[in-house]
Amino acid sequence: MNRDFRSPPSKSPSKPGLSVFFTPRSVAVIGASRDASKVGHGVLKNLVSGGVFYAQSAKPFSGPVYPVNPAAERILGKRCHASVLDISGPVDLAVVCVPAHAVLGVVRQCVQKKVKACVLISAGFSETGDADLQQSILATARKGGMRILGPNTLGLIRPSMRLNASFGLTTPRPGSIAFLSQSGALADSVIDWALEEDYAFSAIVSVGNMADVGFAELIEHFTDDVQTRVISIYAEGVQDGPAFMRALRYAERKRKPVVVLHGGKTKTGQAAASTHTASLASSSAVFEGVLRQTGARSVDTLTDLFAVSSALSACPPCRNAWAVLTNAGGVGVLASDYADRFGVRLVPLSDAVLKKLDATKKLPSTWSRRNPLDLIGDATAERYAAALGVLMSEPSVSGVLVAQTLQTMTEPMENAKLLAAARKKFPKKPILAVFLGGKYSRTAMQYLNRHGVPQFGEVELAVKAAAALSR
Amino acid sequence: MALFRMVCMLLDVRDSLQLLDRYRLAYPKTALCEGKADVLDQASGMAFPLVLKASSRQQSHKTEKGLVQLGIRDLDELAHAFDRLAYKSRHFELDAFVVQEQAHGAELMVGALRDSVFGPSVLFGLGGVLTELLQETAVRVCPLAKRDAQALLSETKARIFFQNGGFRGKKASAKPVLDVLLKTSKLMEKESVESLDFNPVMADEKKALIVDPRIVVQE
Repeated sequence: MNRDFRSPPSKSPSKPGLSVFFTPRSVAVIGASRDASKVGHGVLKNLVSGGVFYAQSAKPFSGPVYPVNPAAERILGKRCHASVLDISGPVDLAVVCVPAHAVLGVVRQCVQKKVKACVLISAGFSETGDADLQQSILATARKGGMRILGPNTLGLIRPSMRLNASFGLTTPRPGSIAFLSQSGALADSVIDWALEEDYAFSAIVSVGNMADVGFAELIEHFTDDVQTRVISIYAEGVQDGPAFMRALRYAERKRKPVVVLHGGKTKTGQAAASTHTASLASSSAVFEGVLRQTGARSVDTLTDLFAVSSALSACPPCRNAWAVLTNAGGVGVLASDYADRFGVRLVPLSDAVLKKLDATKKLPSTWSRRNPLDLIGDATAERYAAALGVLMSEPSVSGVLVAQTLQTMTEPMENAKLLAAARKKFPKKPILAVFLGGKYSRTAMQYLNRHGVPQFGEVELAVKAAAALSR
Repeated sequence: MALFRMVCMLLDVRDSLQLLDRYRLAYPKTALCEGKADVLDQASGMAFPLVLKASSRQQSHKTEKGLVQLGIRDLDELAHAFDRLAYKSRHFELDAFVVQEQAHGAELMVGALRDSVFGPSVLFGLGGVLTELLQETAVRVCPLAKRDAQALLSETKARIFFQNGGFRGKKASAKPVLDVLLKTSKLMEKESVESLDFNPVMADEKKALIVDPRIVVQE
């Protein structure tokens, strides 16, 4: 065996890679529409403004955007072209929103125009039974060396490039989570959710029917993408099992974490998935086995997917030796229960550590003297700071889960600031925050998000994140 | 969707044991017999307690249909057991009467299937009736590396048998079970086996024996 383990297994000299999808210099929207209720309008609007809906992070694409519509003069202030062949400049990426029966003709024109990659938003192919048409389109594209995402995709978003080639509602903040979804609509809601929860993405890709570009190649692409720290996947099934496994193993070798939410785990779910995405459903136990075999992390819910992904995007992996710091006994008990269930080890605190904690003279006489370290309900930020300082510089502790319940004397913003400062000072030691609460904890939670400290609305989620970080 | 339906066939007990032999997969000392005299004759070279089974490819769930007698202590009991099984199976087409030394230990399950997407895969979990009840099996895709087989042992509740105390006086050592898993992986890669079910695999601190192989091949 003299295989080169450094390059992605799917890479071949005859097939152009996926970079052009995410770094195009110009984009054409074929099937651009004046009608605001049409997909072809939404896609164009996302490109020219960054989002159909307002978001601070939504910005116009910086290169030329060409609407193609033979019947319109101008749409959204851009001059229309009768066909892609009428565009004078080069076109790197074409987003195609025409009806299924017109796609093959459009794809032929794109090949003639030497378009490098096509996002086929159009639906009505293998997912509804017309697999032959999908095959003809693929063959045409392959011959012309053009890559295809979809068909039946929501599109793709690369926030750092201000590229929103999708009919998703807007563009979230640039970050380090690459989200690949076999459900386009799900990706859409995730964007809305991301705005609320402050999740930030290196890319969002709706994979559609995966006629050409599939999970395997995307996993390899984002494994090599420097912006991406974690690859998050919603998958219902894959077409090429061995290629999928090779890609996951490649990510594992390169230490790029992959988190997978597998939909269609039950018979009922599988039936729904087979009509949804036209991919072969494996038995769920086999899919689960594949994830474990290749070092990917498997999660059960969307909440878990992003909780775990946000932790992995913000923190390096660590040994399984955690400390819990809290101002509520109940939270300590819950954290211990969850730790037990999800295999997170809470380290005993040695006498030396206890002495150091006493020596700060900031802890009350009633503090728990064990892990979980309970600072008692009236803990101020000063008390948190003293205990956190000792735990962060203690080598036997590899990560700290800091929980706060909101009492009258609690200082959420002060606590958030000291966590952010500790995160900076000890970049190799994960800090996971749980600021239990709602309205009066929100500002502090947002501060944590913006300063690279993953925070969770639930103790259970934080412990699951700790489990995912522990290697 | 499929134009050609694959024709699958359950191997009879003779062919099953031959396939186990080819991969050095261990099973208890077994004799395949035609009739009563043969059964009693073969048993003389075996260690009691014995098991007698009326083996038929048409009949799964032999235990529920009264086609298995466990814990036979001597030739007298064996003769009685034979009469009863012969009566109960009088309407079935039998492949053989199987006399087998009774294995003891933890009941485990090793299985394998061909997944339409990922290909041949090996399954592991608790054996006996609990397999179906718990619906808890761990899976790895072939070829299994040693660390894959090791992971299988720790992923389901069956792990308790490999831990220090065992469970209810039953303890199994990992090595022979790992051996079964790795050999099953090899078998699935080389043979046109569609699926197989070794349930139970009786494991103790020295060995892991396949008591009742069910092997489905592509014809």
